[in-house]
Amino acid sequence: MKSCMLDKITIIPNLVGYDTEAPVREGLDFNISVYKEVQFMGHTCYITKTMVTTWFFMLVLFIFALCVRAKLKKYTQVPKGGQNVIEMLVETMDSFTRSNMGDKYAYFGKWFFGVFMFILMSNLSGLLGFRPPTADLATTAAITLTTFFLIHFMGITKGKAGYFKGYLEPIPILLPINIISEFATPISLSFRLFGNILGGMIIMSMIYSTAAKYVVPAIAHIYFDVFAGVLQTVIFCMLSQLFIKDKIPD
Amino acid sequence: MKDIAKVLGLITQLGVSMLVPILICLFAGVFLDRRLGTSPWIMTVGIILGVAAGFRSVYMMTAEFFKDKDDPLYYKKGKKG
Repeated sequence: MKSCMLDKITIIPNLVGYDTEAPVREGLDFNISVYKEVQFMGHTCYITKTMVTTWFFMLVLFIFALCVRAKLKKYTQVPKGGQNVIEMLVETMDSFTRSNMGDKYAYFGKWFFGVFMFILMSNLSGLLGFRPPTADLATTAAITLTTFFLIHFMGITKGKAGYFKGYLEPIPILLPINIISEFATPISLSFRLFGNILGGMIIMSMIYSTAAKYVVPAIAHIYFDVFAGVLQTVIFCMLSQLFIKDKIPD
Repeated sequence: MKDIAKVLGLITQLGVSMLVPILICLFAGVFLDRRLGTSPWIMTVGIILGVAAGFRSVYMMTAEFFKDKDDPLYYKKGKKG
């Protein structure tokens, strides 16, 4: 299969799982295969496995949200049935956001609920035999880009001059270090999520390519997919909220 | 529960946030060195800057974590230390 965007540098495709020309051992396939190449405005776009899986999960989440919305048109003051579950989910995320960011910024809960559901579904999708979209650096980088934008947007709008002054503290000589450190924050966030999920996926592929697949997959799935997946999702949301809160002056 | 999540977040994030600034500066330094033909000076400066930035990232994260504990009301509120 043709190699994707990064074919000039050989180490990165191997690192992040993009297709290379190297032959793949039977049953040990954790590359991001390119399904189709599309010409778009003079550029070649690659439709990858990650994108197709992401679209599928987006569709599932959209349909779920529309169903819930249709159902909650006739909500009752005292919840019953499915309304209980929905209220519990929303309230849990709401109190989680409140505990991290304070009551004043509880409106971030709505955004992080969406992020949480998407990352959780992606991380758990390894259980259903998909290649988790979060095991692609592109997905996690896109999500952390929104966090990066939120951090600095909130910093500039709420902090105003204090935001820029923060880069000169404690002494102005540290300006380059502060700027590098700010740029490193979203990158390390995306690398942590990506690395954890990719590591789990590679180990699962290795287990499935050997005779161990008759013995350990269930236990390994519990740890690498369920435990690590849920934990990384919670940590991602929590750290994003803490980083955003950090830039907002009290 | 929240404290456990916070500690686990700290554990998994600290190593990465120490490493990433160093790698960014290292690769940026190597790239600039190749472009300008000044090997190995920009890389050396980059690594020093990267180490300092990594230290700052770790410091900011841990300071955020221990901020609650310096609050004199922290233990009175009934939270466990």
